[in-house]
Amino acid sequence: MFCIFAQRIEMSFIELNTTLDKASVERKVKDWERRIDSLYKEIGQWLNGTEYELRVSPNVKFELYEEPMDRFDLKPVKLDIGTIYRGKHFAGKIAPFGLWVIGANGALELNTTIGSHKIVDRAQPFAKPIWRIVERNGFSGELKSFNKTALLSILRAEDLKIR
Amino acid sequence: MSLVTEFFRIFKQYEELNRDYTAKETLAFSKGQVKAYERWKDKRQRNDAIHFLFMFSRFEDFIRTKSNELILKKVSMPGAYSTKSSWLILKDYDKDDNLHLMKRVQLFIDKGDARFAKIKEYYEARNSLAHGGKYNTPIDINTAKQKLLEYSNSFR
Repeated sequence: MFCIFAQRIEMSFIELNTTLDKASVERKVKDWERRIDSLYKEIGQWLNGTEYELRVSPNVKFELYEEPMDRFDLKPVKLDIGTIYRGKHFAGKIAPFGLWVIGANGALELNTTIGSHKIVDRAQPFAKPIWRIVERNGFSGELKSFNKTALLSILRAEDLKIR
Repeated sequence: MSLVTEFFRIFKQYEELNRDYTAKETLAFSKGQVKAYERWKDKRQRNDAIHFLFMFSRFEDFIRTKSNELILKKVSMPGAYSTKSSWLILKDYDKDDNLHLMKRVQLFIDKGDARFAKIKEYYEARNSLAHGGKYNTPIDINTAKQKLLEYSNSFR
């Protein structure tokens, strides 16, 4: 009994308003897998008809194994990483960053070889995702809608610098 | 040195390393070099943790200073003993450094306030990392930096 109580206290920094238990952690991980999968599909549609293409990496996966999963003895989960190509050339990758991230309902990263951009879900847990991308402006950052325009503008700007 | 300046310097150092590690991680990924990719990813994660701890330590010191100033101000105000007895007790706790960080925060921010809850989240993430926790708490330094600076305006 005391152990369960102690675990919940320690978990409080992760989700203050929710009582975490094994089932809720499993549910959240499943939900994260679904949200990532849907986002990749959406990005695939955005890039359709452009010079870019998104493919899910067959060999390299992101291993999700965060504090709550560890506490409840869950196994790590392999998540897909999306690779963006311009023809045969690598243009960037989109990979999960973390699920229990303070201030977001999960975050991913869009990385090119010269830039890194956080994509965060600002929705409440289990609600329809509200994807935002952090636009850096020197020391501070601003959240902008993550959509086709935002994605293409980053890819094209950074791709130009690499070429 | 102001908290903004300290954060700016820490963040600049963090960025230099993060940019380098990210570039190397992404390059390794683009070439299918899985081991190198994992190595740079781990380095980046450790870099996040190290700089978050460093940043939070400055934030802690800032709260300590501000709460100390507040307690001294309240104690030195004119008035009967009964009106400031609780502040005199706090002064003793403060002098012996026995005042818990979140109690210091509570001197400025209501416990039910969302800012209190967020500072507590960061504080507990800091404790988990500082006291031997695994590096499996993802820390977004950008958000942490911005939020902690925003919350620092509450300590007046």
